[in-house]
Amino acid sequence: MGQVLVLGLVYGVIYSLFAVGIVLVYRGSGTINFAQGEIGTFGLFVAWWFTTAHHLPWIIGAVAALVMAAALGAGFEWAIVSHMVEANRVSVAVATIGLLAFLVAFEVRFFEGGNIRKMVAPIRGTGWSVFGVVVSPTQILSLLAAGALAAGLALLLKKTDFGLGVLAAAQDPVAVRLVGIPLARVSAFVWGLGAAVSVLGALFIEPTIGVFTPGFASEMFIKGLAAAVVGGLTSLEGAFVGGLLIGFVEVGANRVFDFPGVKMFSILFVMLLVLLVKPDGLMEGFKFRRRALA
Amino acid sequence: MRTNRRGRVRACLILAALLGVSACTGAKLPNQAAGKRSKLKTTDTTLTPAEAAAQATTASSIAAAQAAAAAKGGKGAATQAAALGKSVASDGSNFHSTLFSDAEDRIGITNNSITMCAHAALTYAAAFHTDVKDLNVFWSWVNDHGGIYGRKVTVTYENDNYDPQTAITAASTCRDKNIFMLLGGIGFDQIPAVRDWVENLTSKHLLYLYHTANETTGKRYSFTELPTTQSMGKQFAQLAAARYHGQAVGILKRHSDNWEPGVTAFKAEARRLGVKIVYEKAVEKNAANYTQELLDAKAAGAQVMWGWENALAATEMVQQAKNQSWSPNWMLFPFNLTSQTIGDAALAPKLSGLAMFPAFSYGDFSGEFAKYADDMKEFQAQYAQYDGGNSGVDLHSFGGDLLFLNWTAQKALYTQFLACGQDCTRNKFIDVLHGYKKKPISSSCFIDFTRPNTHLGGYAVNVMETYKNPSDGKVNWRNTQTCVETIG
Repeated sequence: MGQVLVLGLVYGVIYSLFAVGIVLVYRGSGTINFAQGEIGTFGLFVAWWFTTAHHLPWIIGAVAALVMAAALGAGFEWAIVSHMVEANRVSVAVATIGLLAFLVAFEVRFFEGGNIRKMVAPIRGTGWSVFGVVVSPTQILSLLAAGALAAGLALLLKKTDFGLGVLAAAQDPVAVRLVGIPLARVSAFVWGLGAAVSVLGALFIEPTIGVFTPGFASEMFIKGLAAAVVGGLTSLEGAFVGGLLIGFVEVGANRVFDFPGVKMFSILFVMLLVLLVKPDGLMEGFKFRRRALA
Repeated sequence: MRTNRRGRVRACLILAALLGVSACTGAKLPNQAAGKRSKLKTTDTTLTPAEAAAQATTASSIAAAQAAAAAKGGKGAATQAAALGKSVASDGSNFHSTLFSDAEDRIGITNNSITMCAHAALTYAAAFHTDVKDLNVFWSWVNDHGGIYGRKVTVTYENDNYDPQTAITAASTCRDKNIFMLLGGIGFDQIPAVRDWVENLTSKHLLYLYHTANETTGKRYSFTELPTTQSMGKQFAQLAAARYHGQAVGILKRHSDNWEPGVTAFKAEARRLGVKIVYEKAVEKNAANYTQELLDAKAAGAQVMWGWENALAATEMVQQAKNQSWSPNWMLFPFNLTSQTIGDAALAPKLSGLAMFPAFSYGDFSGEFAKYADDMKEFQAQYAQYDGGNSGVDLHSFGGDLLFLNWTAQKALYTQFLACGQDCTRNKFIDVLHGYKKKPISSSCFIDFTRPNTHLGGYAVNVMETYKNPSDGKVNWRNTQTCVETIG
């Protein structure tokens, strides 16, 4: 049981990060960015290029990856999404699939992506044994980073006008404009931030997996999407909770049941269950309850 | 960003495996340019005239080789080679294939060309298409030196994306190119699908030479020169018993009906040899995360882990076990991709492996490498020479071993084409295969199509371990036993 909790937490935090990126974009643009995972992989290639290929410190590679991913996200919004304001949101989602394909091709062509790659970990060391699981310093760091990110986002989104504008952008863009918040900037911000958060997730999970190739973080995206859906798709708290839940369910199911594909099956099962029982996500009920209590 | 070199290597990784169909075969590459000094190998007294032609190395011309063949056999080289098409089958009778109709017999072969096509996991198609010439260095060499009896060889590739259905589509596209032969790349999952498809074609049949797969009998159009999945599973169990005597074994395996026969054979042989299996778990393709399974195996008392998965998954498994401060003895498919990625940690303890192809470690010709150093040197020389010495491929890197595999496979095919003779047809090529019972060249293992399953020619494997190449410091694989059928 202890092992399930530790591993579930370690993976769940990463899924949470991807889920946050998905939710941010969804809240800002009302669409799903299917390239979210691959942007994380793209960031890994950038970081690898700085750290492994050019022997620079991890932090430089990480910052470069975050900046480039944010620029990529914002750039995609500026070049494509902003021109599709009137378009069906499904069309925008399809455009992100184009970005996904482009990124894979780009990684192969310009980052020698055909080969498998290995990143250095941000912190060296073997880690600590918790319930028989060796938890690495990187995994501890990812927990702390996720916590800091959650707190930072909460502050930004709930305590600033710009943040409130982000939260309201998809639901009532007219009102957002009326209160003087530039919608274009909000949209670019969420796409950029969402991309950067994905890179953060990829940077933290890669040392656990050990190697990466093009498409590496796309599976994380699927789990992140499941987490976002479980959490309600519009709720950042839900994204975190959903990520952790998916992590625990995945590891727990793999421990209890012994059939191939049990991990993905369990994730899809939970997602379907939530959609059937609480279509608006787990946190939607939580908010309602909280309001009722107030 | 060095844009091409490593991407090319990756493409090569994929494609090198593609022609692994003949990885344990091959022959000396004749440099057919006239006017160079002959280095005809004569150490193998079983050489036929056509093989002598095949083993004419870098300084001989095809004309000289064929003249030698004619002198030895008292007939023209072409006649001699053609005679090889009338091989002796396992029952002792001359075998004359009539599998292909007259209309199909000469598809893909003309007086001046041989056209072939391969299906393989060209997932990174862009890189592949950009750098395909790097994969065909051997054929470029052959074509630049006269081709095969004057025929230029063209090999094209179709992406099967590691997917059985896609593989059939790829094979179908290949068929539309009017090819002489379809080549099947690596992949336990897609090979059987294509094999069944080929066997069940009702028109425009194909001759299919494929990489190792699960064994079945009753094939007509499909041949493999490498050991079967079952055979390798059995040999891995023998390796466990021999190298890790008394140690408990855990199995992490691909969830696939096509991979499972290897596990069944492993378990049967393990039972016979008294090897204790304490853990077994099937994982999905590209699962990426194996930490939980590894912890369970460790808790079950596994001291040896058999990773019955591809190179990427095996690399992740070893790495993730290390992350958990656990270093069991590993048995894997031995690719330099794994050992170089893991680095020095792959030496503590050394990884063990079994393969149907020979180990390659750039510039190291010592130990077991000495047995086929001539092939290694020739391979290195060709890659150094082509594209003005910059073929775009780093043989030191983890593509080197697979490129060598690819090269030896192409060379083997070349040898068999020479044996097929100047008037080679599909039926004659089948005749060559049916009578094939020999170790063609130094880097190959014995091939024997005269055993009961006449469409299966591969039985021997190379036993390997990781080591550090003294010349470049890379952690690579090397043979510890070369071409053995039973490991003990």
